[in-house]
Amino acid sequence: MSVEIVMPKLSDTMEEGTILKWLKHVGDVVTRGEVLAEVETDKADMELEASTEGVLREITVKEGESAAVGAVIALVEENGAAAASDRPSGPKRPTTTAGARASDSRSRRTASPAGSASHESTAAPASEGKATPAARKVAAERGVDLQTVQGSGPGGRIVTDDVEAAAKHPPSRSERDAAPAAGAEVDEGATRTSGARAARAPLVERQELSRMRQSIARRMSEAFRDIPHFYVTAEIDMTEAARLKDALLRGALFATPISYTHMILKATALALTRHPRLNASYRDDAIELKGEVNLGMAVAVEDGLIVPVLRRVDEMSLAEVATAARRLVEQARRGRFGREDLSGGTFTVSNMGMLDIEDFAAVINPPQAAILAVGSIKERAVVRDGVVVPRRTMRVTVSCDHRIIDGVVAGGFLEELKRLLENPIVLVVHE
Amino acid sequence: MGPAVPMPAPAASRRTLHVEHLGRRAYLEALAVQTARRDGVFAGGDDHLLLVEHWPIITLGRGGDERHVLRRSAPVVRVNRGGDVTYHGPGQLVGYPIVDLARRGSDVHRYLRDLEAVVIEVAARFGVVAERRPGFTGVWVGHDKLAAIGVGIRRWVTMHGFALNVADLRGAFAAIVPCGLAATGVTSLAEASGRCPDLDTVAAVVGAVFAARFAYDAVVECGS
Repeated sequence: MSVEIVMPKLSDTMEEGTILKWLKHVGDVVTRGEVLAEVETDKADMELEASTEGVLREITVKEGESAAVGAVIALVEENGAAAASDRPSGPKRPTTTAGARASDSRSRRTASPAGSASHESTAAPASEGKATPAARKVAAERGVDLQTVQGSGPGGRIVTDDVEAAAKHPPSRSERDAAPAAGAEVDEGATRTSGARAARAPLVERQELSRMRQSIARRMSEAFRDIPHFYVTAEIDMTEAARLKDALLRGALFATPISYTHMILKATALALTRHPRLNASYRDDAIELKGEVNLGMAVAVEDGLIVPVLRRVDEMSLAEVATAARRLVEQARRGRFGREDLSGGTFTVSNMGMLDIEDFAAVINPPQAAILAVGSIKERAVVRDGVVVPRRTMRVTVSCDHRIIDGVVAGGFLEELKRLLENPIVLVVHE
Repeated sequence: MGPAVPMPAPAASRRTLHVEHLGRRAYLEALAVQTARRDGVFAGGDDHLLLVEHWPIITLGRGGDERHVLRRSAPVVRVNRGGDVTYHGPGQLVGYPIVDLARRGSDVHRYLRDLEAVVIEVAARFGVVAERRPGFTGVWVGHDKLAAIGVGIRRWVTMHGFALNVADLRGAFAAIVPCGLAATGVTSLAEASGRCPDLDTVAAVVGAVFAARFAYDAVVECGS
């Protein structure tokens, strides 16, 4: 049964509409909800969706033409009746798209090994009869469709070897689909060509960098070009730290609730005082060791990041770290910070723990010599005394300037950091 | 006389508009936000109004004629909206209402007229007398275009919208034949009023006027 597709009434004041484009062509299978055409009225485009399923039989209003509201613009042959049509391939599989149907009609030819019309006309229809009984038995066992096998025996007869070969190299799905898929693409390309040339040109949108982004770009290039980076990773068990955090929270001992970040900052400062080479700069064939630990904290902001610096962390208690860090990050997020808040850092901590990542490696923030990248704390399976147990762990990676730091020094620093965070009571008692 | 007293709307049909201030964003980024919000409305979510300023870009509607791009001074992209060619760039406030028209009578023309009314009202607040020109969708000051309008609709949910020239953009528009209409100029709030209002101020006014015109029960503002 044919269903009429009419020019939709998009407005009470709409008298006629224009077909901008047909997205389906005569013979295409149409499924419910698919966009058939783009209709324009005034300066609004409406995508006209199919409310029926079947085959597009006829287009009565062509692209660029107008029609009155309610006028027939196309006919769709609904599924039931379409089976009797002269296009049997489409209606039999009403759920396939036009592209898939096109591939279906072409797949037989390309699927056959010879891929030639002559093969189709001779071997295919005769294959059942032209296979030896042994070949037929093997085909049944191996699940080979004799229709797809070309015979090498006398008169094109299919012999056991042919079936074995076919079983070893079945026409893969991708092989079967490759040629028709390409065909479908060509079809699509053709419609696009007839449509819009501008749409086909690859779009490159140029966006000038903000001052902050320019500064990040310059500094990061400099750092990655000039500093020979190397990376060392350790896994730290944070189960005890989690317990301590909860206990401190319950006790409400501190004005500012202690977070993992605060513990990591405190532990990093302590570890740096014991491994001063990571709290240093390389300059003019010398190592400049810094007498104070000023920790930069990478803070994500709109289209970039800033690194406010927490000063003299080596002299702060955990509670002081918490209060100072919280204030600094809040100011940074609100954009309220001065130049001095962003300078003078001796080491940087970049924490992506909130993003559920395993681990990552950061680029050093010059003139510093190292940066710590902190991953997410997660419950992971850990072996303890020969038994697999769930523990809350995180992975940290320190990136180091190899001109002044060697692997063994970096390893020593991470070992210390691990020891502190796995025995976090030290962080509280250390004033 | 006060407004006619409507039947109290049941709680379920309270309509909320989310006004999102996106700041200065690349066209493609804002397009991604539009598509995401439209998916939300398809799923029954609230309407949105995105307010954004773009980096220079020339866009063509589906039926747009490429010959109306005289000079490729900015990237050119064809998009799923009505209308011909237009320019977006700094100094212009672009509004993308993602509105379910099925909830408000399914009338595309009325929607276009409402968009025009919003821009006319906004212009008035900045001392500019703007008007419609029958047969030429958009908002005009004399024969010069103050705001371009182009809409794309799928399942009665709108995308794209209007572009209001705030700063003087005549130089930038020289690259195209605006909306395919030769012998039409462009104007701006700056040119028509003699002083250039701040874009954020205009955005705030647009949000308020839009919400009033479309009679939302509640407005949620978000973004930078």
